[in-house]
Amino acid sequence: MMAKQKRFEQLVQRYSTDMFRYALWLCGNREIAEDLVQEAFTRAWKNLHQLKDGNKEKAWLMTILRNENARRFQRVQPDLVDIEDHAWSMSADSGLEPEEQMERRILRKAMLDLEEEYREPLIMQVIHGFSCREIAETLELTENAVMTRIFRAKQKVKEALTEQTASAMARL
Amino acid sequence: MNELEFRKRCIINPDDSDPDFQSALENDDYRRVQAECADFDEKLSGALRVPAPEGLQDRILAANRQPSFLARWKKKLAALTSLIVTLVLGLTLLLRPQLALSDMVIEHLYHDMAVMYSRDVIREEQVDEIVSHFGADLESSLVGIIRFIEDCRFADQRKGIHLVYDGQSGPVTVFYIPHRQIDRMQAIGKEEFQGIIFPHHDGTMAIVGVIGEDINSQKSKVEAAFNWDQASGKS
Repeated sequence: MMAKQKRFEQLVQRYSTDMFRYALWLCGNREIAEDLVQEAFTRAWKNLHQLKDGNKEKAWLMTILRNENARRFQRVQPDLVDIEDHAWSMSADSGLEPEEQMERRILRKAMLDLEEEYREPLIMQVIHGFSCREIAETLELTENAVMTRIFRAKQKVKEALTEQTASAMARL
Repeated sequence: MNELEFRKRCIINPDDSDPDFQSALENDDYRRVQAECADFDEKLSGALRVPAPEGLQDRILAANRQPSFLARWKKKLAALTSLIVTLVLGLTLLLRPQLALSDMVIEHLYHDMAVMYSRDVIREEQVDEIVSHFGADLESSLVGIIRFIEDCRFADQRKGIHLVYDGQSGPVTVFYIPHRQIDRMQAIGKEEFQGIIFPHHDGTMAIVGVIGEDINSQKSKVEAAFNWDQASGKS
């Protein structure tokens, strides 16, 4: 009984932050992201016995989170608040130079502007360090499809960064 | 690996461990492209790695905690308590009909309080008419002057006899409720009234007088006065 508790605590300690980031970039809203993570871990707690392979715990949690997100959309489609409106993003970048802060804001905005099919594999790679094969398994896609999506996603974000940085510099 | 292919793979994953990709990095130009892509990924990663809300882990753990040994015992204790309460409640309900009947009698007594002070004298024919409906005959001379008699409907809608006669200390009320029996005699009473309720014939009888009335003596009189040997009950 206690072994279950201990294992669960380890999962929470290892993955809750990255799970939150993943949820945040999926839904674009901190409050909803926290709810999603809480719900995902509650489901994980109930179904912990199903997690046999310790090497797949991250992917397992990710799948639960994705399912929770899908359920959320079945229930209600909330009006999402622009992520840049939150004070937290200011405090998170407080130690950076103004140019770097601007760059981060552009990158975040560009991420949220991506269609979900491009955004999701990119988050999995950048935040979780998943390989294309692992992303393919989780998203039930071919590896080639994942590579194509990540390539296009990065191209789009990079273009946005180049364009908006140039435009910001021109305004100065 | 040509340059186009290298650039594409480099954008997808600048840390690609594929041997072809790794050998391509021996080229300075390719290495520069790889560094640019890695730098971009690093920037992107920095932008996306936002802090999680404070206390998130604690909240998750608090919401999903194995009940402690003590909590598990508390749960068992709660279940046991619930079982005991259910048993006690069950037993109370089993005993309840007797209590309900005595309550019903007192309630009816208070409801028809006025008849206790009637000074009417009920004729024997009137008495016979009522008690005969219940299959009985009443020798009224054995109890005293009868001031009131009705076939009343009690709270459970059952019809019974409601009779008032002059006792030693004041009015004595007799109720007879057919087809509803209690298993033993009980004392009943409220405020200035006292009495007993007991099994009688195929039902229950109650005798209530004012405080000071010799109820046992009245019981003997009433039981002697009622004769159930005549025609079968019509109630």
